[in-house]
Amino acid sequence: MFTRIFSIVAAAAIGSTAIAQEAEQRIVSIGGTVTEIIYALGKSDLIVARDTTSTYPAEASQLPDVGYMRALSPEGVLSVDPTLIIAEEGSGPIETIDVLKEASIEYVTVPTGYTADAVAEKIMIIGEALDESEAAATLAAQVTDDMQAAAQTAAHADPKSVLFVLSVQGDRVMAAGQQTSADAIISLAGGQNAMGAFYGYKPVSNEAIIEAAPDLILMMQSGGGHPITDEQIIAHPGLGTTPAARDGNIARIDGLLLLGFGPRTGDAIQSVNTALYAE
Amino acid sequence: MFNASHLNVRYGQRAIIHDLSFSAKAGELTAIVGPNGSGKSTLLKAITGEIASSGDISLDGANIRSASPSELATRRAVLPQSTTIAFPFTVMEIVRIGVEAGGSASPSLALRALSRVGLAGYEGRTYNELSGGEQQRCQLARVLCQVWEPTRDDHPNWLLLDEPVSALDIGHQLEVMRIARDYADNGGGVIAVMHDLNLTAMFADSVALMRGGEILRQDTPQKVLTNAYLSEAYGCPLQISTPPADGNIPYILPQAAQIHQPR
Amino acid sequence: MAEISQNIPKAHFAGDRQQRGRYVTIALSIALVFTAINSLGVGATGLPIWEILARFLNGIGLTHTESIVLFDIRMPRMVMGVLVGSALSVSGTIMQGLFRNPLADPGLIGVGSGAALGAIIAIVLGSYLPAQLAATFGPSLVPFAAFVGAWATTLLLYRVSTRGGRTSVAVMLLAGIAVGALSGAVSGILIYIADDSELRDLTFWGMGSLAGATWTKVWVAAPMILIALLSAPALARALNAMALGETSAMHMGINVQRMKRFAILAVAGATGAAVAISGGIGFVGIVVPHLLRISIGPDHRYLLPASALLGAIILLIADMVARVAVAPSDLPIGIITAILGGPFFLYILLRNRGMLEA
Repeated sequence: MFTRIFSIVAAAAIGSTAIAQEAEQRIVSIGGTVTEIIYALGKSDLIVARDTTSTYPAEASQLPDVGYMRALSPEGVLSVDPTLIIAEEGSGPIETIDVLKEASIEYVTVPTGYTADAVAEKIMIIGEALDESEAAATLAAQVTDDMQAAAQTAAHADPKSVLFVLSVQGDRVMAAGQQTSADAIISLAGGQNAMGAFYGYKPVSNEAIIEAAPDLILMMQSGGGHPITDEQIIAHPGLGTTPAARDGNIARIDGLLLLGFGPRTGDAIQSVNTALYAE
Repeated sequence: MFNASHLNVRYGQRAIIHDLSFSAKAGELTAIVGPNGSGKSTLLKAITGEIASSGDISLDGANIRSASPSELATRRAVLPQSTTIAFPFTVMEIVRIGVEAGGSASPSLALRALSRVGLAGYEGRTYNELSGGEQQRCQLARVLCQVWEPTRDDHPNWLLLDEPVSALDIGHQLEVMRIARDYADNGGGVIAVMHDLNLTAMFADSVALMRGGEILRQDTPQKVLTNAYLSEAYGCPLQISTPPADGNIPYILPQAAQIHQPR
Repeated sequence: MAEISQNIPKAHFAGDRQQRGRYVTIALSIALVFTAINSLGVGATGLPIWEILARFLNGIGLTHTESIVLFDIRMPRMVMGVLVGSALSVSGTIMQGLFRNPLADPGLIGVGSGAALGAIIAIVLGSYLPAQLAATFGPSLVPFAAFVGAWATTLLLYRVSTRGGRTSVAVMLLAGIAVGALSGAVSGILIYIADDSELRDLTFWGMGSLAGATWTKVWVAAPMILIALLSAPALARALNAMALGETSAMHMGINVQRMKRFAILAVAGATGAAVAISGGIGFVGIVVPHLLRISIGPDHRYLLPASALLGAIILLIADMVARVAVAPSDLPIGIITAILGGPFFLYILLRNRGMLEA
């Protein structure tokens, strides 16, 4: 902290170095997918800090963490002396964003969305902010192709049913309903969400799980804090009786890969599809 | 003059006090006696305004119902049967609270009050560490501070005491009764709910004998503390004797031997 | 506190702690000024206070970013810390005096559950508001709803427990439990329909933070809190008398009903405003009065101002830790007050058992 102050003072005093530094963007990247796209565009060296959800690629974890994307502290963000903030939609709180904008820091919002077009839009917006529109267009086209190709291969006339389990707390299962990124990835991968009756992530009863009889149980790797073992699933009163548990169809995929809707979503579609229909 | 007439107190459907009239004169110690549940404390609480009642209650001709708590506090102080304190106040602080609520008590007045009740040197002690009797005397000191002068601007001040000697040993019982007696002798008014009939006989000018929410009789101790009235009020035979040395003070002894004999 | 109390000179009369109260109040005032100035120099960007002073003295001034850090981030945050800390502690002190219980807090009059319900409604249902209305409130929606929730709950409890011009503290306590359960249930329903990010917002709101401090929040909350703080001394004598019980207080000339209404409204206003702008910050309201009672005794004439001062100091210190502990991220301050306050409070309790046993 001390040395940083000193360097600012020194930079201001010398002047010429300050101008040289101005040419280089200093980016705070808020949101796992945003960080991933910046890396994919080859501009990772511009990132000076990231939020807690930015965990891919692994190098990103080495960067200073400014906190959870919806609970940012204005001075924390200012302390890394950024010139550009690229943030996923819903970052906040608003008070913090207001102060950051007042500090003449460029602020770019990246919308969320669960379609190939939405992913392409994310990439284009970030590319524009980084002055890398051409590279972004290439990446966007590639990612769109990947996703569409994967989705086409994955499409199934008689889709199998998939239960996405967000967490199991005290034997209570939190599952994904409609209008979630999990629901979107399941459809793209040629499956059908076993819990289509509600919206968002909700606790579901064991009876509802038995009734839904999913063919695959999909989870995040180390999701919800506690890793859930296959033994625990088989022993679980609800999950244990499903066809998925009986046949050992339990898939675990990294959360950001699975639900991030970024450059790697084509891979995610393939992985889920493989888990569903392989053999 | 403390005056209550056509006083009624109800708890729900039950009448605790029914159409009662009571008065006490300044310069006198008026005792309220009677068996358990006869309404002694209820009467005191009604005339202090602590519980709701109907009927007229006046203090020197002024209706107490229309007086503000702060006006009343300068004219009369009330000693409750017992007081628990929520926080670790010292004895000194407790005594001063009595007047500070309305104005401010000089430390020297508090010290005088404490030495009057035999608690000199206790100022720094925490109230909650005192024994029950010491706590009761500490409260008396607080109450005395509130209306220290028995009269003010030719008006009497009043002490209303609810069983002031119940937790005390015989020595302190006499001491506290003497304080009350002095207050009355100097022109103040004292109303005390009493259990001990002998102390009542020794110190009171007027005795109101209660039974079943009514005053059976109010008069001088010699006229009220008689075999007939007391037996009627308490429902047990009592023996009254008068010592030869002082013909005015009756001694009341329960005739324990007879209690087991059918009448 | 323990160290301070031993250095206070003896009073003129045994058992009279007024002089000690005055000394401690003066010491705390000086400490607050020192802490407040120091807090302007603590944060993730560095820029310590002597650096700021040196810049101004040498006429260099601050850069644009630095002046935003100082004037738009740290200053409102410091003022908010002082307001919230003193509001919570003074409210705690008043509640403990009013309920004659050293464990009482503003939660007993429904402020906490009401504010939480208001905040949850705003967080979860805020997105359903018509766009125009949402734009009018903007970021003030959650604080506004929390404040309204706190007040509405307190007024409901007051109405329920007041009959024939007398407020029953016992009825208020029991009704508070019922209303708390009810608002907990409504909160539960809203949590059930909340989405993932709203749930995270709720969690962070519950842990409290001064990170979102803005001048707007300060200006909105300051009047409510200042009214309560400035009128609190008027309650001191009445609260002292209340320590002897409600009837004794009445016999000593206290208009008990008026005093209760005044105290409840002041606490609802101050705590409601504090919780609205900072979220749930626990512990300060209970610990501060305890520490001070051990040091200067329970006389509310000194306890109330000293509580305001010590509460502000403690919250400022906790907030300074919040700013730098995991920089550039920011810890919720409620976590710090509990982590620092919990063990310290236990230590004080063990050392002073005798003083606290009633």
